[in-house]
Amino acid sequence: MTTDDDTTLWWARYRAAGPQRVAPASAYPAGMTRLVEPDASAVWLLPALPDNARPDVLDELGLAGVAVDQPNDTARVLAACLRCCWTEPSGPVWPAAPAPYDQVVAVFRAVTGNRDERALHAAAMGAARRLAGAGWVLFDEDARVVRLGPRVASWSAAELSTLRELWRSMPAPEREA
Amino acid sequence: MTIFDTVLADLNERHRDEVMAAFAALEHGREPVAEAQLLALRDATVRRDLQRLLFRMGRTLVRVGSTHWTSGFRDDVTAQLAAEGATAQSRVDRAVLVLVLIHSVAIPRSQGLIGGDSWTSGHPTPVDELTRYTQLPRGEIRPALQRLRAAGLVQIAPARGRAAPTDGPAYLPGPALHRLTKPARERLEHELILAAAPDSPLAAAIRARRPAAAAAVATPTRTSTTERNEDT
Amino acid sequence: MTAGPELTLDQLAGDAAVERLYRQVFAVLARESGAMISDVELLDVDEAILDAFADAGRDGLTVDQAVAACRPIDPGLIHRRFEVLRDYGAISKVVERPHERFHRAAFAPYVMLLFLRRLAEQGGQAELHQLLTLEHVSVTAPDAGPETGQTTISRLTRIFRHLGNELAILAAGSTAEQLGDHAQLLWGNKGLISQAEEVHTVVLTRWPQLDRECTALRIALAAYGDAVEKAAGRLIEQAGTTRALGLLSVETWLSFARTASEDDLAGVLDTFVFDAPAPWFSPNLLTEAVESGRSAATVRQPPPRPEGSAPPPPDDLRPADDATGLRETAERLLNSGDGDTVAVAAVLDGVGDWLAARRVLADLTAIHHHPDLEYELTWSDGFRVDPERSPAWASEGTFRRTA
Repeated sequence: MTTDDDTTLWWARYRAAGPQRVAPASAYPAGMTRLVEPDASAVWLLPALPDNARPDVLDELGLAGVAVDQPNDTARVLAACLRCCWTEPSGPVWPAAPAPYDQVVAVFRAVTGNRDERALHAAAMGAARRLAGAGWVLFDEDARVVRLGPRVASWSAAELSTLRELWRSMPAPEREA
Repeated sequence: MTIFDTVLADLNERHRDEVMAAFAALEHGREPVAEAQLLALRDATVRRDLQRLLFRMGRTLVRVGSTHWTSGFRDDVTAQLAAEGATAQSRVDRAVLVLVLIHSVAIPRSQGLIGGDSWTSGHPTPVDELTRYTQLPRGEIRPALQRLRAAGLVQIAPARGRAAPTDGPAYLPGPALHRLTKPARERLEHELILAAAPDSPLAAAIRARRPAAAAAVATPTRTSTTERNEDT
Repeated sequence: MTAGPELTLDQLAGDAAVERLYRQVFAVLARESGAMISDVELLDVDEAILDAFADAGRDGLTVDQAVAACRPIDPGLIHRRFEVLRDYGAISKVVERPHERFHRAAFAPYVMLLFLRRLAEQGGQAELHQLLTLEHVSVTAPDAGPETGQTTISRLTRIFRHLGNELAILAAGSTAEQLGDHAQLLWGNKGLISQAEEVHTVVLTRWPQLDRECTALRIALAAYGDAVEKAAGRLIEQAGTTRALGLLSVETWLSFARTASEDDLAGVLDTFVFDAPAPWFSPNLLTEAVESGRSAATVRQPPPRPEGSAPPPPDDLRPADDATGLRETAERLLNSGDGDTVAVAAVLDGVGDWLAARRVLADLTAIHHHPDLEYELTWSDGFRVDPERSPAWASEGTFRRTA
């Protein structure tokens, strides 16, 4: 395989299996962003798309994107993860910090209110799993810990400033003493 | 140099924008896109540049019907990824998807109810066929259906035409199946026949043709396929 | 011709296939070319006439009675078919004398008619299997002699020569469509061949002197096998992407779907790759979702959905929106029990009238069937009736959490 073919396969792997986690010393193809894990134990590879080839182009074209079950709750849980994990919103969104899942649920509750507690937990869990399945968050269900996933690195600088505003408008998670 | 730089370097700004927009529409969109909607699909010259870009990413243009386009994995890349096991779907996900394809495509075909060569269909698979009448572990089917829905491989059938919403949901193959290239669609048909009726003369005929077909895939056809779209 | 203009092309095509078979079957009986029936509907008329005779009892029927019994079929048509059936002896006078008006029907034509219909519906495979079974019975009978064996073997040889020839010629010279129409000739061929081989073994073991006849049968079977292979090859070659799927029977698909293991099913897709889920969450979408959640938070959640009060959401949104409401209903109902299970009767006792109870039942069923909700509704056979309550009866069902 030539280098060209290697690059091709990296793009295809990302498409077929989501963001790729590789050993830190691995060679990586041109045009991919390297996201180093906080402990430098591994690296995520995420393709960098030029501005006018990103998913938000669909809106301009009036085309539908990938369908998401429970889109609103899923977006709210992602926002809650962002609020809890992105401890320094002035800085980059990756790698951010791990947060207890219960904290995320508490923020989710605060932005949805008045729901039956069980229904609320079920909705949060469904959304967290969905987000984890697509690489937007990393969710350790046994340890009940949530982190932001590699896909968050695909938000552009302009998009991150919108998210900072959202971050500020959301209730702060109650930190344990 | 990124793939985009390399492939699009020689294009003028307008063509570059058209190719990028079409790339985004095909790669990120839920459904195939109408040829009339985008210049890069309408104009054969620009479409060739789009195909070159997709090709470098392991993808290719896939024609849907006579008026729409989407993108999917190149056949040689599919073979490579499948051999590596680079996939987002678990075994039970795939088993459930196969059941939906049997009920929504294969059986209506045997009944003469559908034509065309698509793996999508308007014939719903009742959820009972998935949960009650199969050998799959019942508890794993719902999560599998959720994951398949997230990947666009199945979708919930519209309630229209069903007697009451309490009949329970029914499933259809999802829009992601449009992304199968023509050779992949045919291969899927053969794999299904081999699995469902391994002793049938049809299966024997498929097996008899296999070595030749495998050799054809292994032969590098790269230079010719970059320049043209294979699926028209 | 009785085929009206309202018939669709499909119906005509189907009729044509049936008629072809009838023509083939009756060809041996036709007195001369052109004397065959040319319209399948005439068979329906014949059947109606014969049915009328069966129902008429021992007195038989006059032509006029037959016409009356066959209404609304056109009386002229009945008269004509009556004459034809009488010419061929299928119907005859009760007593052979001038001016006798009453007729009786023979039994054999009716059996033939039924046989034909089955042959037309199932392509003759079942009949062949039955024939092979009968031949097997006859050659294994203790009193059977070499003549029986010889007759059987040559009969089977001819049958398989016919089958093989028909397929071979089709495979060599017809389009995939024509071949597809005869796809049933390909089904179950293994079973037919092995049944014939069993008969062959019995005969050869009992009467080794029939070696020459048995060799002929083996050759015919091999030729049939070859023809099947060639025809299947041609079908696969020409069928294209999903057309060959239709060449397997519905039963084959159903039995595979229902009996295959997870590995067998998943194995079909071993060499395929699909895109990973890659939903896009724009910052605007996140912001809107959070804001709409907050405003909803100040409004109380509505009680269980009243029937048909609001226009339904678009179809692809319904499942997503349904789940939240249904889940809340489920939890509310479970909380009236022990939190994880509740008796349906108890739930129904808690609602006011039958209409409300029906709504709750509809909700329970919808929750049970919803793909995202981990609850189930199970029914036992018990049935509680209590006229003092509303509703006055309730089935013994349980609603519970499954995960």
